Amino acid sequence: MKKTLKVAIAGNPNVGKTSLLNHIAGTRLKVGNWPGVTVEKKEAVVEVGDYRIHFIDLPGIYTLEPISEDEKIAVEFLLQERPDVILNVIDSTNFERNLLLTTELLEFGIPLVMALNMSDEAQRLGIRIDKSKLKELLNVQVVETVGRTGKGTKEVLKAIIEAADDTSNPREPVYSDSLERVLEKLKEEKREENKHELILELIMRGSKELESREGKPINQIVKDERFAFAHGLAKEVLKRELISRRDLTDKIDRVVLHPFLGLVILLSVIYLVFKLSFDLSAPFMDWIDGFINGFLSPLSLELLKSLHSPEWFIRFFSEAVVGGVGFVLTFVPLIGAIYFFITFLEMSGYIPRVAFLMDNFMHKMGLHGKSVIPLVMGFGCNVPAIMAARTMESKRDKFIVIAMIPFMSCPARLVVFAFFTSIFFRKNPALVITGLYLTGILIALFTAFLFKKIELKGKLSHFVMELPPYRLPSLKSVLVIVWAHVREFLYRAGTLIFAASIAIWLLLNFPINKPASESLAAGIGKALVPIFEPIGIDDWRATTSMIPAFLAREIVISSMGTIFAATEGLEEVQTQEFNLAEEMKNQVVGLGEAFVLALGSMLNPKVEALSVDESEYEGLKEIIAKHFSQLSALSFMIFILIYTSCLGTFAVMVQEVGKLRGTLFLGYSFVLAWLVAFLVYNVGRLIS
Amino acid sequence: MNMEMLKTGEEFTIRALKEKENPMINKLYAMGVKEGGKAKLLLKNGRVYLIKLGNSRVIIDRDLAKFIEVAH
Repeated sequence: MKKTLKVAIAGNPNVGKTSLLNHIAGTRLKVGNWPGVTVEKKEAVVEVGDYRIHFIDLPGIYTLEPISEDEKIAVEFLLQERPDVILNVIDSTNFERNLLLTTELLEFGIPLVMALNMSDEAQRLGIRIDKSKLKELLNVQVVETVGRTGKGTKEVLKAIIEAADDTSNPREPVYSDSLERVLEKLKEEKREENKHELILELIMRGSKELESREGKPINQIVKDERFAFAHGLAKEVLKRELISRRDLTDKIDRVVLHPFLGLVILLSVIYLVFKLSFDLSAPFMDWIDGFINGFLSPLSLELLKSLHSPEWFIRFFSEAVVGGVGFVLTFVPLIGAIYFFITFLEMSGYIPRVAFLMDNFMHKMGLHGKSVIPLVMGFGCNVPAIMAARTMESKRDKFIVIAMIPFMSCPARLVVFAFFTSIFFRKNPALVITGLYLTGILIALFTAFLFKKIELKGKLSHFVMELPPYRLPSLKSVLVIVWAHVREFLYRAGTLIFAASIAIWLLLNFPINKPASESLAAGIGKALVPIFEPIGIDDWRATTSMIPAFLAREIVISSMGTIFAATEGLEEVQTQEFNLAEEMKNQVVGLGEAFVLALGSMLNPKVEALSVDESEYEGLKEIIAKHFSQLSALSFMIFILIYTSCLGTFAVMVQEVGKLRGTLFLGYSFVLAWLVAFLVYNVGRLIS
Repeated sequence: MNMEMLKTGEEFTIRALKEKENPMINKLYAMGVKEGGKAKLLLKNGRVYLIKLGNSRVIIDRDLAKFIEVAH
């Protein structure tokens, strides 16, 4: 049986912990959240020889002193989980500063491996670290690494096993005689070996003797002692040659962070990310949709028919199971593409700069500059936008931004808007649609204002952040992270979406063998009419169509088509004969076309994925024109805009902020959508 | 004097940090912004400053920068 080792990866932010872990773990990297908080957790299990090594990446921190959630998570993990080895990743170019955390980690007495990362950059800067002396002084393993290329990865794994097998622990940092004496007394009294715990106890109790002698509070004394130890250690092992080197980062920053030029660059970058993500992924999303509904679903239908399965089971399998899985899979190209560009920008060092650039503007709304990225992404798709909000450091900002994103109108809503405006607002559809987008932004701002007042009180936290130098991330590192996120989405959101799509199918199809007008969903739809009547939606078929629309907003149109077809005699599209060989050929051709379309869209500067085909659903339009008025159509669109009727968004929201907050938010968006629609409908009626 | 009086591109020495109990000052301290440290003001953008400290660049908001006493 393999021996399991638990390894905590600790280090300052931007030291290349993630890159190093990417090289160690490859596709085994998993991303998730630390329980109860929205701090990202990365972990991986790697098998080396007789060992199964479980890596847990702790949040990037400068010290173990409690400043934010990040430090608390790290300390709690080290104390409660007591890892077998700590892998301390160090930015060799900022060696002395990094040693403060190393000093604190040494206090735990846990075997330690120091990965002197960015050793190539340090070398170029003339920084030399005496590895063997460091090893000798601290009794730890020391390895030089380059996170970007993966150099030193194998040596790190070897060093971890050596450190775990070594029975002698690393040398604890030794502080001044007076502090050591007090700690020794405490050690005897508490029978506690862990120096870090002893220091925590000492800070809690205070020490009159020490404080009066030093003339400063105990926590300051401890801090200064740790700094002194780190400084002394650096002096012993660090050598600097004077190399005069022009700093490229400073030069780029002069342009990228310029108040005017920087904004032009930022807008161009946002536009490019938008354009590339949507136009590159849209043809593949359509292809997956077609593959599931035009190939897998009829194929499973044919197969089940040949096995003489009952009719209801055949429909359940092809519509709910295959359709449900298909719905989840269609998101994959978009999430993959957006994550690719966001990860690239994050690892290259650009995203932290956006925070600097946009801070002034976003501060007026009570947020930090970094919030602008996920908010803009929301116009493309709320799902990856909410996932991208993880890059925000403060929990408060993260919650506010996540609550704002669902009001950024996405292309799914545009489909509904285009359908209704082409019937009721033929003269000025663009004006109405622009108005709806602006309403969404206003609602987002109102939500931020409201949440800050009610739940997330308190001043905007102080803004301190380190800007890493510009780096060209390796393609492998970026892809490993993209894959980890896609896999996480498939697993977490996938299970919820799948379960909900089965539930919705059951509602629409039970009791079996009854028409749609007598289904459970129709019953609920009819019961909902009194709620929607005050906002001008009094047809049970419209309220019923909103139930399946919880999967995704645009489904409201196709489900209206189905329900109105059943009750008004609208002709449904006849299913064609399924020919396996021909369909397989069609799917292969379709995939080829998706590649051509994706590449071809790069020649058009517009974002093509956002254009809507208005020629669809012609028959349904005539019926809808009879059952809605201009005002009730506007009210319906406002309701669809504001209410978070999107299972994908709800699923990631639950994932990021928890079930309770996610569900409360869903209720909030429903009430708000109803109130605004009520206001618009009734004020409109009074005026007209 | 505090950082507000510095011009872009000016080099300075950190003389003192006020409000050492403030967790964000603690963070700055751990990031290497401490007494005697030499730094350079790279850029100012409304509410935020960008300083260079050794090989690292740190963004500090103006409200927090008021707690940092500097000298030329």
